[in-house]
Amino acid sequence: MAEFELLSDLELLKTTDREPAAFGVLYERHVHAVLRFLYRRTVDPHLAADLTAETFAAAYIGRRKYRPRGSSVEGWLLGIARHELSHALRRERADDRARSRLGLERVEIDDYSAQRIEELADLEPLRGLLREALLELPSGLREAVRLRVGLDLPYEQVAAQLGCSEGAARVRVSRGLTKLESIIGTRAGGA
Amino acid sequence: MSDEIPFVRALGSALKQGIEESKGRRFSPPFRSFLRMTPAAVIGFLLAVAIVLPLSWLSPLGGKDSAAAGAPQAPGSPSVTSTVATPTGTLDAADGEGALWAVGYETVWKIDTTTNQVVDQIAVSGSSDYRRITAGDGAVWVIDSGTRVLTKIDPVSDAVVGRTSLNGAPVAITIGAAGIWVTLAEEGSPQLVQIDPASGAPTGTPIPAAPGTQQIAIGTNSVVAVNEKSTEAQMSISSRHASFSSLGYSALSGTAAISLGQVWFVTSAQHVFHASLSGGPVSRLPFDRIEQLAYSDGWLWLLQQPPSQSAATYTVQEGAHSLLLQVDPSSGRIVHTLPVRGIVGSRIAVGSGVIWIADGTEIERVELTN
Repeated sequence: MAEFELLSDLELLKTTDREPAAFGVLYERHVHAVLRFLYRRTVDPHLAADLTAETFAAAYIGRRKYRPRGSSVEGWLLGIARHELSHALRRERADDRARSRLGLERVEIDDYSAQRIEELADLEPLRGLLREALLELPSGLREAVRLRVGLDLPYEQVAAQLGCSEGAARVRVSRGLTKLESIIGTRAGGA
Repeated sequence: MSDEIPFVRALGSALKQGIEESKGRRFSPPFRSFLRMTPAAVIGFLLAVAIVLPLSWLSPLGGKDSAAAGAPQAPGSPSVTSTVATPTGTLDAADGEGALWAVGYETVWKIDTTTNQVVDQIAVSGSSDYRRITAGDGAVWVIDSGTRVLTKIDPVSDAVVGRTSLNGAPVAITIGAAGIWVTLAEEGSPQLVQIDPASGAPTGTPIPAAPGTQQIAIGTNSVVAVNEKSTEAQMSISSRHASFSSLGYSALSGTAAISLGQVWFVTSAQHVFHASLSGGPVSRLPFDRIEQLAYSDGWLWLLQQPPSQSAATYTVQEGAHSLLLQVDPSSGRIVHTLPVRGIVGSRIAVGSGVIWIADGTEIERVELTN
């Protein structure tokens, strides 16, 4: 695979049709970024691992759809990862369509890998930031985020506990998360 | 570095093997997928084939029967004529002002509807994953419920020409003969707000809406808002006052379409209802699992999810996840059924003679062809 290592991401994608091993180099380059991206959003190494596998299988299958003017290859991969994550959150499980199409068996994750993925994501500083940022949220938004994200309650129950409509609960959670992101982004940027 | 995590190495090996074995073959031909299925999946597959594909033949409302029963003949059959690839997730799409516009998490893409290629991208800041887009009245409009901002884009220069902070989180935007309307889902006091197309700012007096109002459809003189409460489920509103009518169905949400004094809307239970804006009974159409609906060129278009999200269903036709139903609005009968890639959360945008289905990774173009 050394012959491919000097190629750009775009060249690797183009070469994959002729030399499938080129995709392996692309995988090596970006798998950690994808894993980190997914783990930070799921905090579940098993789900992050499944989604990573699905992301790369989907990327391979859809490699001809990549358009260089839209985003970098890594941005494209993260876009696929985000899409897979979105599906997983809606269906409460990782999709396996792309893996099935590629004939890929599920790759189990061992405890050591799970621990290493957590280290890779380096969440500890973020946890501290998150704790502080949560305290800065208005109580209504903090409670909405706690119910939906912390306790993983469906919006129907979040709304019931907040005494508002489901739509309002969604908006409140969305606004809470947006504000959290803003606070954390500001602090992380200033750190 | 990848060797440091056993999973990464194992996945790399599995991926390599999968790619090597798939080299030179087309992905997921139904026959091979069938061979790989477990017995339970085979049963699911057969059921899916029995239920999904001949739906229009088995149902008394089905395509062939409905045509025979006197439904107007379609000018042609709908078919997927091309696919537009967007770089990252598409949250919504709109056809108007000379292009197709798709909105993602941080970007609006302009798509040339002649070539089906992305020709420009416009940065629209914000961090919400709930965004909606519409095009008309000389601009492209984007709402973001997280930032509570309405963004106006000039469709000629492709530049952001206005950003208006709204007094609530916008959850729906619609444009039509009665103007541009936005639903603000402010807790306890949701409102419908008309937008001045010139300034991009709210104009007139906001109309109080029922709690949980999410979706709106617009006609010549009326706006219909659909909410999610069981008691005041749907209301018909003139541009200046609102009247509420209870439908007795709970948890209404989803999309709505309005035409010729009638409205169709989807509930969160994925049922379709029909009502006249002049009053009278509300009827339920015999379709289940409807994700989205739109009205275009005299037809009602329904995006129907498969019976289950099982792998067996997905292999009914390669890449086909849902059905696009072309329905005669006067009789409620299916005229044509088209397998499409739309999945949960997909959005429909309509243009002249074209239906766009945005499923997050790409947008399918559906046209009526003879």
